[in-house]
This record gives sequence, C-alpha cells and structure tokens, in this order.
Amino acid sequence: MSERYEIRFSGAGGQGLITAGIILAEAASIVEGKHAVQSQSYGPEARGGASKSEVIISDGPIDYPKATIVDACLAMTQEACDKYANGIKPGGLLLLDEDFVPNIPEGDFRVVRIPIMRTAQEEIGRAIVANVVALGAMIALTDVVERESGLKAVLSRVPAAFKELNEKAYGLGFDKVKAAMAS
Amino acid sequence: MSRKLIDSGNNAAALAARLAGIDVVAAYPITPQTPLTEKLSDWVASGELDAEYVAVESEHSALGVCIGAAAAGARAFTATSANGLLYMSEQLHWAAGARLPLVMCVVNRGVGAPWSVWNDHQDAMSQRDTGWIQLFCRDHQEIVDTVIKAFRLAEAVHIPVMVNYDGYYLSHTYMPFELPEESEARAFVGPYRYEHALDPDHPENLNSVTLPDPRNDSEGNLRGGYMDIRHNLQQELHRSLDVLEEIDAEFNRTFGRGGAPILDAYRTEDAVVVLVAMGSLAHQLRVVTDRLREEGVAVGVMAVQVYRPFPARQLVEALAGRGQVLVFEKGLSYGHQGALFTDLKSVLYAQPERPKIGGFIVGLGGRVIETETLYQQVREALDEGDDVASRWVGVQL
Repeated sequence: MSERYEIRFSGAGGQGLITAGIILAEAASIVEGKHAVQSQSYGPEARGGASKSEVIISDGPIDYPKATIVDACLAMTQEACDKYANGIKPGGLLLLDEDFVPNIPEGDFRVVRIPIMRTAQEEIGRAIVANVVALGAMIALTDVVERESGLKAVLSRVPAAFKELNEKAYGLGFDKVKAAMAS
Repeated sequence: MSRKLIDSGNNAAALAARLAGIDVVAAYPITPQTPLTEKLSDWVASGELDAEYVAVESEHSALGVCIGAAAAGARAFTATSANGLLYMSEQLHWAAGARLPLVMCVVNRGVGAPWSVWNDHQDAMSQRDTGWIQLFCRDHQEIVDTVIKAFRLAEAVHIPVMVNYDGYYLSHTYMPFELPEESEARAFVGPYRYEHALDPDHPENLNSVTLPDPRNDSEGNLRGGYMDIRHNLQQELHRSLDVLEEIDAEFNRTFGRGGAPILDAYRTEDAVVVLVAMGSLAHQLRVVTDRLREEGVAVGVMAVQVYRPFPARQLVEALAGRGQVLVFEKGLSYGHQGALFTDLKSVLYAQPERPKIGGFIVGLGGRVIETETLYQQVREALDEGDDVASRWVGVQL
C-alpha cells in the first residue's frame, strides 16, 4: 500500500484556506509529480462559519478522495479548532494560530503555535495573505513538499504585482514554524 | 502536447466541453453544477470560447434551446443536477426520440423533497428510461475524457449522451488531470454534422404526428409508425456500446488513456466475490478490496461505466460463474429496490449457475459512506454467503 499523508486546514470561511489547500495540492501534484487531491467541507456555513479544506498526498493513486485520519491539522480559530482538530493520527501534528486559539486541545499529537493572522496583518500589512502565511507554516510543519515547490505553486497563482507580497508571507510562515519547532 | 493541471471536477468538465468545440450552451444554475456553466459563461464573455451562451429562465428551456440548436446544425451542450434534470424530463424524452446528438453533464445530487444539495444518483436513475445514453465517471480524468468521447458518440449514433459525475465528491474536489491539446481534441471530435439539420433550401418534415401503423410519406415511400421509430432507437442504443468501444479505442491510440469504456475491472481476474458500483463509489470500493485481499479474500471491483444502454452481455461475461456479486448504489426505484441491483439480477437470470447476489443502498443525500462501513457490509455478506435483499446501509434513525 502506498504512503498516504493527509492534511487539514481549518479556520473561518473567507480566510482563503480552500485556496491554501489547492495550492498545496498543486505543489505536490504538478510541481513534484506526486498524487494529490484537495477536498472541502460543504456545510451551510459560508463566510464567517468554521470551514475546512483537506489535502491528501500520496505516492500512489488516491482511490478515496476524502480525508480519513489526518497526519497534520491547522486551526486558525477556536471554533475551527473545537470542530475540526479531531481525528488526528497518534503522534500527528497540530498547528494553531496562537492569538485566536486560546484553548489548546489535548491529545497524542504535537502542538505548534505561531501568530498567523498577526503576521499577515502586522508584518505584511495585509490580512488577506494569512492563508499564504498558513500554507508556508504547514509546509514547514510537515515537510510534505519541498519549500521551493510550495513557493512555486503560490507564485503560479498570483498576479505579478502581488508576487513579492506572497513570497514574503510564505517565507514568514515557513520560518516561524521552523523556529517554533526548534525551540 | 497535453498539459497536466489540478482543478475542480466542474472545471474539468467545462474545459473538456470547450475542447470539444461547442457552439451553443444553454443552462440554468443549480448546485452543484453551477460552477461548470459559470466557467463556460465567463469564457464566452471574454471571447476565449467562440460560442453562443443562452441564459434561460429554467432547465426546461435550457434543454429546449439545445434541442433547437442541435436541430439547426450547432453542437450544443448543457449541464444540470437533481430537480433541474427532472424539470427537463419532457425534453429529455424529446431529444432522444428526435435523435439529437446532445451532450449534457449531470452533476449527481439527491432529489427533493426534502431538499438536499448533496450527492446521490437518484437524479440520473429517475431518467434512465428516456432513451439517453448514460455514462458515469469516477475521477477528473474520466470526466475530461468521457465528455470528449461523448460528443463523438452522440454524433455517431444520433442519440443524446448524459455524462454523470458525483456532486462534491468530484464536482468541487481538486484533482490533477491531463488536458489534451485543443487542436488534438478538435481533430478527434471532428466537425459537427447532423444530416437532418434545418435548412430552408431543403425542407423536411421532422417528428410530426405518427400513426399506430406505417404510412407513406409525401413522396410515396413507406415510413415507420411510432413503434417502428422507437424500435429503431432501441436497436441503435444497443449498437451504441460497440460504437463506444471503437471510439474509446481510437481515443486510447490518440491520447494513451482508456481501454475500459463499458466495465472497468479491478483485481477481478481470480475474484470469487465481485463488488459492483457506479461513479466515485467504485473507486472507494478499491480500498475495501485491497484490505480484503490482504486478508486473503479473492475480491475485485467491477465499475459500471455505462448504465444505459445496460451492458447486459458484458456483465454476464464478467460476473457469471463468480461466487458472490454485491451491488452498492446511491439510488433506487422507490417501492422496490436498487435499480442497478434489479437490472443485474435480470441479466443473470438466464445463467445456469448464477452467483449469490446482494444489493446495498448507500449514501443517499450525501450520507457519509465510511470505507470501514463498506468493509463491514462486505464481510457480513461473505459470512452469510447468500443472497442479500436490498439493504439500506447507514440509516441512523
């Protein structure tokens, strides 16, 4: 059976986590030539409600496109954390936005906390790139694709005028998680 | 050169319809189909797609416009889901009876009431007797390839083709797929030809009132009555399976994909037990199969890729002589049982030694189908080793 790695991005609807998932799937499948699938939750909630986006990466064909038990999970808000930070594989990984998730769930997984939204707002000046900060952070957390592959996929999806902004956001997310994991 | 990209199933369908060289799109929005025709509408507006987009006020009109366009000599396309498909129903019968080579994507969704926007196959099942060819897709690559082949098929046999794919599981999920070069896809599909296209210089009397018996036309030639014309549709539907195989073989030679357009077998060579399903569920059953194989059970999956015309001969060849056949489906004939289950039993009836057969209704209105649950159901059926009457799996209250 082939190696299957499952990642869940969760947060508030409208934060761009569906896009983050699609970019990760693109980095894995188009840039690195692995198998990847990105799927979403389809609740009645839209902007504001908790939403999730899941990516499955495998070196073999993916027959079932939904996540079953995730290797790594991101939660950008407390509501998303309460709703979606479950079904994490024993020994898995959980990344939290430290400003928005005060109640840290307990379980057999490693928790890493960085300020995702604050990084986007204060260091980039644009809350809209929080999803790209989160993407860099999740790639640093999981090493599921190379740093360069993720960046390449990000840059292929943004207009020229926003490349620098997104590259910076991606790099900040990546470096902050690597620093948090090293400490 | 083809290119590889990652996109949603709806966008995969839109890209394929565009590659096929559609002239007219008429559609009405309905979840989960909407992003497909929105994409086509965007391309028409931006000039990237040289086609006429007709924004209609209902699905009934959407198919009506496609019928008119196809009759006038244009390659027409539409898409819908669930109640939208049902609102078209009268026109579905008409399009098939009038032998118009339309292609329509049905993004499968449960039918209301009560409302559900989530996936099952009841919409397609409810329209199985309209005379359309019904194809099912399991992933994005199949959506692209099937849509392109569907135009060739429809135009070769003069029967409309419905390309089905699962709402959300495929429509909104992003998966990588190969997209053929436009020039190659166009060359494969060829120019649109419809020999009875409306032409003021060559007037014809089409689909007029028939009588119970044949009668002479205005030139004195004996022409069929309703029953003869309908018998012709039935024969041509059966013949269309051979045509599909020819088209698929050519597609395979050109693009390097295909080879199993009617039934797709997974680990069935020595299988004593065969799991049967349509759409993405057939892929999910592979996971169950792999697990059971590890436990030493000789199991395989047979994906039914064409539901109408029903591939009776192929199914008998594939399933007669097996120990057990288990059918998993997301739709049924209310008051009876799963439609695929019923159909399968009817074609196996004449076999001297038929397999034990079981029917399972799963995933209605998006009810989660856990792989573990499918595994348990198969395990139980294996232990019982007998026929299983139509069983609902996953009912909670």
